[in-house]
Amino acid sequence: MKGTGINSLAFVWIVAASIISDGLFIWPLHIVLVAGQNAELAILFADLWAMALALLIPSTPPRGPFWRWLFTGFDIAALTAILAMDAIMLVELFGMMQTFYYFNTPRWALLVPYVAVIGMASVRRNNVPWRVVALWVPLLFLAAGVIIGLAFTTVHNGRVLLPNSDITLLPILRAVTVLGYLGVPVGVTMRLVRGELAEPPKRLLRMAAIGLTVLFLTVLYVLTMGALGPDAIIHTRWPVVFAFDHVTLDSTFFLSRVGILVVFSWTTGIALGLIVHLRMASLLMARRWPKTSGLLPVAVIIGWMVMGLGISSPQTASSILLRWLDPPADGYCAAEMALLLGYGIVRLLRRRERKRPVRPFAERPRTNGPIPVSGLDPHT
Amino acid sequence: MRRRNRILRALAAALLMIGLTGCWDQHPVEFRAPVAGIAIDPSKKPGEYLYTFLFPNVTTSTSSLATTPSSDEFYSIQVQANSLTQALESAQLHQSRTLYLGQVRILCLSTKLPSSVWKRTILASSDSGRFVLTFWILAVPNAAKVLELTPPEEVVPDVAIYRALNCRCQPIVWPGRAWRTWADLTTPGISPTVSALSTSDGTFELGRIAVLGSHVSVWSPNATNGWAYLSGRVERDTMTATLHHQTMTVGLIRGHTRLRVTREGMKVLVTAKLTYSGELTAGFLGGDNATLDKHVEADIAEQIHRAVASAWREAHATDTDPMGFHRLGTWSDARISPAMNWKNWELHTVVRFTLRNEGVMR
Repeated sequence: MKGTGINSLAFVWIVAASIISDGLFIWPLHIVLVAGQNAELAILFADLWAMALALLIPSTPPRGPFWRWLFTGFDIAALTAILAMDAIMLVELFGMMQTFYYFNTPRWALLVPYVAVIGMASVRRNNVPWRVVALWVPLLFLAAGVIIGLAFTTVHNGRVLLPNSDITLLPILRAVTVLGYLGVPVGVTMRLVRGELAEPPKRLLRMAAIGLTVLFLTVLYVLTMGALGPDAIIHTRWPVVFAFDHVTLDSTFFLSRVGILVVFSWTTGIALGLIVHLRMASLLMARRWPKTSGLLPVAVIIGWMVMGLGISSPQTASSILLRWLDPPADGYCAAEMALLLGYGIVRLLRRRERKRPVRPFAERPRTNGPIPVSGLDPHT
Repeated sequence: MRRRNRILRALAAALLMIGLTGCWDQHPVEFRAPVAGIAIDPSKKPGEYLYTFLFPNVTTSTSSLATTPSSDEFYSIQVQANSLTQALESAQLHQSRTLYLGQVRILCLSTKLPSSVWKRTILASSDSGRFVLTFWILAVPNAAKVLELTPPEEVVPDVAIYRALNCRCQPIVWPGRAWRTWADLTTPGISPTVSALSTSDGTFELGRIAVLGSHVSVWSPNATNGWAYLSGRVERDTMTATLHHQTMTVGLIRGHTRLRVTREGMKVLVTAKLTYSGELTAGFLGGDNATLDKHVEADIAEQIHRAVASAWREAHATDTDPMGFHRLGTWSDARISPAMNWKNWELHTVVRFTLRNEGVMR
C-alpha cells in the first residue's frame, strides 16, 4: 500500500472523523451533569491535552523492537476500546433516530444495513476507504458549518459560557475523566494513519487535525450551552440534536427546519468514523498477523451487530460507556502521555549522544573532501 | 474472492432495500390529522380542563377549495381532561385519523388556569416527544375563542398569530417560543414568559407579556416595554417626545442591553447598561439645532428609564423574575442562589440614547 499514499490534507479529515464520531453523541451532556456551568474548564483542559498529544506523537514509526512492540500494544488496547465504543455509538445513533424520526422502525432494520454498508466500504482495496473519508468529511464539515451558523441565532445566554465565581476542582476533574473516551482515538489514529500518507505528517498538520476537531466540539458546546444553559441541558437526552432541532428559518419558504439536515450529516459522519476505525484495525492486523487479518472486519461487523442489538437502550449504552469504558480510557490516556513523554525524552537523549563527537578529531582518517559533521553523519 | 464479494454486495443491497423503505413509519397525509393549534380553558369540573384541538380539513381537495365555505376548511374537537396527555388520548377517540403533533403552530392557555397547569402542560409537551417545540405559547383570557379567530388577512385561523410572532416585524421580539419557555421553566432563577394576546372584533392584539410565577400575571404595557428593554428584545420601538409644545416621534429604536449582577457584601446590585438609538420620524422642527437633538435624546432616555423602573416594580409586585436576574446572578456569582429573596436588591440603570442621522433629518 506504500507508494500510493494519501495526501496530507486527508490526514486532517481522517483524524477528525475518527475522534468526532465517538464523541458526538452524548456531548456535552455528561460533563455538564458533573461540572455544570464550569464544564468549559474541563473542555479547555482536554483541548490542551489533545494538543500536547498531537505535538508529542512522533511523525515516523518508533525505532527499535522494544518501542515498536510497546506502541503496538497501546494501539491494540486503544482499538479494542474504540471498537467497543463504536458499538455503543451505534446504539446511541439508532436510539436517537427512533426518538426523533423513526418511531416505529425496529432497530435491526436500521442497524443491520448501516453496519453492512460500513463493512463493505472499509474492505475496499488500497486507499479507497481513506479517499471516501477525505471526500465526505469536508463536505459534512461544510454542511455542519452552515447549520451551526444558522443555529447561532438561538444562543442567548452569554454569561453562562464563562466560568462561575465558584471554581471547585473536583467536579471539573470528574468532567475531565468523563472526557477520557474522547482522548483514546487521538493518538492511535495519528500513529496508524501516519503510515498511509505519502509523507509523514508534520507537526503543523497534526496540530491542524486536532485543532479542527476540538474547535468543532467546542463550538457545539457553545451552541448547546448558550441556547439552553446548564440546567436545561441536563433535562435533555441529546442536547446537540435538541439545539439543532429547534432552529427555525421562518423567512425561507422551503427550508423551515434544519434538524433533518443534522440527521443526514450525523448518520454519514458516524459511518465515516466507523469506517476509519475498522480500517485502522485491519491495518494493524495486516501488519502483525497478515494471515488472519481478513477475518477481522467480519468479526467486528458481527460484534457490532450483536452489541448494537443486544444493548437494550441508549441509556444503558451511555452507562456502559461511562462506568466500564471511561475508567480504563482515562488510564490509557495517562499511560499514553507517559509513553510519549518517555519516548520523546529517550529520542532527545539519543540525538544529543549522536551530536557529541564519538572520536577525538585527530584520530579521524584524513580525507581530501570536507570534514563530515558528526551530527549529520548517518553512520555515527 | 470476487464471486464472494459480489454475493455479499447483492445481500447488502437486498438488506438495504428492506431497511431503508421506512415502511414502519409510513404515515400518508390522508391518514393523519395534523393538529394546527391547541387551546386550554378551565372547565366547570374542578381538576379538569377544556382542551380544544384545531385541525385543517384535509379531505378538502384542490378542486373543492374554491367551493368549500371557509367554515368547513377547519374543524375543532373539544374534550375535557385533566392533562394534555389524557386530552390527546380522548381527542384520538373522536378521530378516524392519527393525531399528528409535528405541525402545531400555537398553544393557547387561558390566563384563568392555575400556573401548575401551565407548567405541567409545557413539560408534557416536551416529554411526550410527539411535539416539535417550535410552536408559540400564548396567554389569552379565552383560549378556545382565539383558535376560531380568522383575521381578514389570512385564510387559516391560527396562521396570522403564528406569522405575527415569527415575522420580526413587531416592535419587540415577543417571547413564548416553546423550547425557550421550556428551557426557562427547567432553569431556576428565571420566570418563564409568554406573549399575552387580547382579541376584539375578529382581530388580535399583542402588547403585553404574561409571566409564570405562583400564578399567571399579565404585565402592564409599560412594564412589558421595560422588560423588553431589559432583556434586549427591542427591535423597532417608537416613542414620542414633547418639546416646545411640539410632539416629535422617534421611531425604529433598537440597540442592546448589558446586564450584570454583582454581590457586594450583603447587597446585590443589578447593573443594566442600555445603549439604544432611534431616528426622528415625525415632528421635526427643521434647521440644524444640536441642542434640540440633545433634548429629544434626554427625553427618550428618561422614558426608557421609567419603563425599566416600571418593569422592576412589576417584577417585585408579582414576585416573578422574567428578566432572569437570579439566573444571571447564579451564573456569575455562586453565592447568589436562584431562589434568593430580592427585596433589597438594587437596580442601577444607565441609559444611553442617541439619534441616528436618518429618517426625516435629511
